[in-house]
Amino acid sequence: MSVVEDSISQLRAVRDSIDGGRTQVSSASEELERHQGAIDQASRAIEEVSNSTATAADGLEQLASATRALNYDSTAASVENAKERVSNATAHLLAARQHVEQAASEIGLVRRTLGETSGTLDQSDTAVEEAISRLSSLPLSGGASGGSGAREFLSELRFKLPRNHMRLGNPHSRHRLRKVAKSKYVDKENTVALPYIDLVKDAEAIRSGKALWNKKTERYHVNGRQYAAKDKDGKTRLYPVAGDGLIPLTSGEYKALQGMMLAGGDRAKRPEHFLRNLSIGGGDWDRAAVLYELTRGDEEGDRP
Amino acid sequence: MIFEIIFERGTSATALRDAMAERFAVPSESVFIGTTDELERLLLDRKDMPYPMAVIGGEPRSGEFSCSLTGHDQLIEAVGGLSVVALATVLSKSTGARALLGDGGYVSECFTMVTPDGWHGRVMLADDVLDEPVFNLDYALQPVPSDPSIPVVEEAHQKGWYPDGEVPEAGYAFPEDEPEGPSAPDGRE
Repeated sequence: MSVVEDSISQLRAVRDSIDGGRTQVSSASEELERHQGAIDQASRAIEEVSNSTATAADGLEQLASATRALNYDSTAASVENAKERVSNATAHLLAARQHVEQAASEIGLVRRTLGETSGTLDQSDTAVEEAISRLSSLPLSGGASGGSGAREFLSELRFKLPRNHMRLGNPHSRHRLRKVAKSKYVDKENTVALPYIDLVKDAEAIRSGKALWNKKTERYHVNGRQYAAKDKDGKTRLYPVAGDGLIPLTSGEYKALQGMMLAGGDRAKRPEHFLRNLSIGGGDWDRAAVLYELTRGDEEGDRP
Repeated sequence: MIFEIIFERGTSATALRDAMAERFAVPSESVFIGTTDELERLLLDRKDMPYPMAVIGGEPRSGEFSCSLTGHDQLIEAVGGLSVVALATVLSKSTGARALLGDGGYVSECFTMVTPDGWHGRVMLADDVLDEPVFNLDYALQPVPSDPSIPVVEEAHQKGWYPDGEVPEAGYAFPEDEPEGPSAPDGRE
């Protein structure tokens, strides 16, 4: 079999893999739709319960006033007790709402990634079809090399990995969520991986040629995540950029998470200088609190 | 938004503070000179003290670039909404010192360098400063007009380093700094 025939055969296998990938993306999209529907329902339910709780709190306040006015002390005590329970319920509702919003945010991220993956698959499929078509039309002369035209065309293939991909080093440990406190420079956007993401496994997949290379964005695509690469004189590294389980942190969120880690997750014990730092907003602390909880999962395989 | 500009070792902290006061009327009392620990102790002692607009010193830095200026939105407002690279350029020209700042990308060794002639471009540091805060130049990603001795390496696949796929261009923050005519240096991309 000549190089060209062999290439056509391999391209057909790639096309089959792309079809399989597309089916999986489609199933995942449907699954996400279902989760999104459940989250929407949960959100509406929380809203209704919140309204009921607020109404109950108002009613209890009126009842408390009435019982105090009538000197019904034991009843007033019961009403106060009930108010405290309603207050506790409201706090739980707020916490539940935060969890639901976080889940909705993560589902949104995954859905965007799926959309990008689907686009990449379409591009790859088009490139494969074009490659098969052009290779099939090439003359099979030129010996075992398959002809210089074939060689030239093969070098242009969109999904062909850069020649140096086998030397790429692992991503830096600062991209692991629980290592974030050790970083020394915060004036850069940082992408961190949730604990269940195995960055080293992704890097191994890239080195072994299992990733797609997007020539346009100059990034690797593997396991639903994108990686940028730096390569100079053998000092090489991969950088997680976006995708499943990768979260971009702003400077404020980054500093808030550092403060939460130093305080062992206790918001009341956050270091004073972090509290007084005007560059950290209230929303940063809320997001940092959620991320801090995620750092407490197992290092690998503990998908929330 | 918080940002950090790191000037060359030996840059005077008071010269930076004075430059901000003279050029932009940034109140000297709003610029703290000292370490983060010293600032924290001061804030704890004086509860009514506002958080400063800028901290010069802050966290320990070492290497060729070790004089750190950290600022946030209030400082940007105080200097009339200048970009961070423009502010760094003004301070570099005032003090005669080169400075580094974040390049907005994912590659942790890549920084933007400004030089006292008003130019800025991207450089790579010798080590990953995110683990060890040692700021030493390794090479530039384009020629540096004021220092042709800095080696230049053309890295492949730089588009992937940036969130929007746009590789920042080298150049001048202020048009009046640009060399005129055919003698313009090759450093501009």
